[in-house]
Amino acid sequence: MMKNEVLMTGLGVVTPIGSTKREFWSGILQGRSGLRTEDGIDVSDLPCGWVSGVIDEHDRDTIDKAWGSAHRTWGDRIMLSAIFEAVEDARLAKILPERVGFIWAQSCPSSGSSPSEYERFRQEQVELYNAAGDSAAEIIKFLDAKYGSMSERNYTFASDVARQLDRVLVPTRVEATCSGGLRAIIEGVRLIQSGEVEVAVVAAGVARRNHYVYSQYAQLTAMSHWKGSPQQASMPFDIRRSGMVISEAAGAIILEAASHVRRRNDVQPYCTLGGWGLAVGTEHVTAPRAYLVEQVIEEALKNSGVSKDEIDAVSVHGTSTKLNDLTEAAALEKIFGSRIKDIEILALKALTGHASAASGVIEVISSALSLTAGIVPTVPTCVEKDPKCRVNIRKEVANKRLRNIMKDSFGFGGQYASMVMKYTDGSRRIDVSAM
Amino acid sequence: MDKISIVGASVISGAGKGQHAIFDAMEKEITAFAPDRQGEPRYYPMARIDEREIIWPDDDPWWSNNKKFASTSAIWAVNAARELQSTYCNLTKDERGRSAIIVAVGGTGEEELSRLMPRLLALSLTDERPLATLLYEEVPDYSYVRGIPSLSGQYVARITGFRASNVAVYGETNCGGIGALTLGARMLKTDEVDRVVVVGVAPPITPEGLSAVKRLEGLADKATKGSGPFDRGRAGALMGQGAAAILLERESVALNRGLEPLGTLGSVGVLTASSEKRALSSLLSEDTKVRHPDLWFSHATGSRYRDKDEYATVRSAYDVLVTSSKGTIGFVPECSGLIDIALALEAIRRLRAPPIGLLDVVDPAFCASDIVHGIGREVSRLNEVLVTALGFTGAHTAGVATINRWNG
Repeated sequence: MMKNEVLMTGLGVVTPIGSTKREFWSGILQGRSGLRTEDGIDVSDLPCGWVSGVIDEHDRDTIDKAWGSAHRTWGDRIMLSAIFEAVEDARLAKILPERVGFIWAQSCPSSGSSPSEYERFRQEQVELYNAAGDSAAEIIKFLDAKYGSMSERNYTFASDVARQLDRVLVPTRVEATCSGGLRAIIEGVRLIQSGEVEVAVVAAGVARRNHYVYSQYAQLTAMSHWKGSPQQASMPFDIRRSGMVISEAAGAIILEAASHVRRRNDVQPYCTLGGWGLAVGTEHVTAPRAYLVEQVIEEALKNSGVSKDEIDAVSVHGTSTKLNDLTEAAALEKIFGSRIKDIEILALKALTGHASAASGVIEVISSALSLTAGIVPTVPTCVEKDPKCRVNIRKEVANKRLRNIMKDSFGFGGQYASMVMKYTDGSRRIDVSAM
Repeated sequence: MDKISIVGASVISGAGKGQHAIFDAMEKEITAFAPDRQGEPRYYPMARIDEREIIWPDDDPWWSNNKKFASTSAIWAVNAARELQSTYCNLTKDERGRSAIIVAVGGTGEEELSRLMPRLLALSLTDERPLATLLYEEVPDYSYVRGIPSLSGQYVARITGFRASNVAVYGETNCGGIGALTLGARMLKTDEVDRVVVVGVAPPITPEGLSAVKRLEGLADKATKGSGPFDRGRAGALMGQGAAAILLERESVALNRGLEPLGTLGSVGVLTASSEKRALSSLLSEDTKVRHPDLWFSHATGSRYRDKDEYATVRSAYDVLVTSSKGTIGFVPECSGLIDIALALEAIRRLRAPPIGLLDVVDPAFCASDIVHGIGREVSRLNEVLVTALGFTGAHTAGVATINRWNG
């Protein structure tokens, strides 16, 4: 295997707990929840899913002001915001190479990435139905008459990013359900390892607050049924957990070849990325399998050259569903044996909810911040730990130097991914008080 | 570094099953734009797959239990992958663990919901139920899951036994097939796996989708002689349906298994730039290091201006014989690049350049002697075949692959 070392040198976030690196990290340290009663969509009659992870109104206005345009959806805007924070953070804005890798995962339904976008979609669909009914020929005739021929200005996210960065992109848009964010990072690392580029932007964004998506997640019966405080609704490894809370978020990281970082000599990386395990399972479309979780973790250890004794923390997938958390905890116990009680558990979805592919990226970011700050946050919603989940949940924030973190991401369709993040000599040390 | 060999290629298109079916149709100047089989009124010509050729596996209960989660894309992907069965049926468990899946698919839920959703949303104006509740009760179960692109890959994993990983490469760039192939080549180069099956699928396009393509590119409103790529009378893109699967394998591994490669993947890449021309010329000159192509399967779809721009960019770099499959089977988004790779392998095998379907009189903007027109040409040397794929107008994205004769 080609062994170009790949470093993470910049990061950017838009999440329900903060839409800058600083706010995000302070939210994590304070255990501030981004979950709230869904008030943009009437979900009162759905059997579950009345809580959402929603980006703060003030952040929304700020992002709209910076990135709003007629062609960009809300989902595009949060991704651009995260990407450009990451570029700035990596101090690359003025010295970005002519050619940049761009790997992204984006789940923003064409029907709308926010309640207002969905309302617009509804109006258009009703207009279409009233004019053309079910007839394909009539629909075409109506749309042709409405819009005219060759009238469209095509908007694509990649071409927008190329334009904004003023660079040529080596693009790949990936989709691997909820593991898509981590898979995008893996493909970014691979792209640099292959020698095709020295710098890659990796981003994932999920914005799907629309009536259709909520109705479908309710059908899947995977959403939280919790009836207490909204902030408690996502509770990985808590015995009362009843399902996930879906949320919106975007995260972006900058990956660089170590040689590139050394040459410019003006930035300290957060960590080294590399060494992963991937697998596809076919037994079931939605239910995870412990043996495949174990397999990808073992592969990630082997491929990173890190022993399981050198792993100090696991950034879990931890969705707060009965089955995921039980399966993941069992696999971790099998891998780490008696050391499981010493392995720190990072479970960000307790605060942000589950932002599908975006969660993979923002959890890598929060893990990188833990590595560089030497701080282990709590899992504040895991109050009554499930005795079957024998993982170590912190009740208090702890100062602790972490050497290596294992990141897990799994997803529908038999998706399994794990990757090792390493703190190495020369990595940043964040002074929390200075952030 | 091992060369990357192509050990299997399959296609399902409007011309039937197999790349030979398309090649024969091109040679005989038969097109797949037959009258609509479903008896619907025709709005724009469409080279449709014959659904009777599509079958769902029934060799174990898993397939019947899980059919409810399968979109049209998944069903077609399984059919395309199964055509390669002879190349993977003898793999051991360990070998399957070093075998990955990449699927290139566009949106997979649209065809199911495109007729239902306007009706439901119109109903929502008078229905007493909250909109989310109405959709919860009226939308068919699992429609959201069926719309997940990478789920097609899980079905491909089941049929092939490949277990290393599965990812969908898809979306707006519409060079999905070449994009997926690029990622597959990268996975082989970094030694993560020994083989990758790349499957591209273009399921039935919705009326809304067709109308959008028309607004972007222009659509041909007839598929008759004179409306094909490079014709002076061409009036817009010709569209088709299809699925294709390409099995890439590290050459040494393939040879150890006793396989004779169909060809070698010389180079492959995709770029997004400030313009499509810049992306394509960068790929040709810097990235893919295309040497001396003997034949070019162009993206050319019948678009008035894009055929011209693409031709000018490639011809400024190479003196090469030009053909296109689009006049025979239409443009098959996310998949045409893979189909053209299968056709390139067939061209190398036959030492022939197939003519362009529906091409009557070559537009004077092109050099007529370059363009394979009317009857196919025997070629004494076919060592390198160039395939190009372009994103829709405005995507500013291009993909390039070269296929080399295997010199084993």
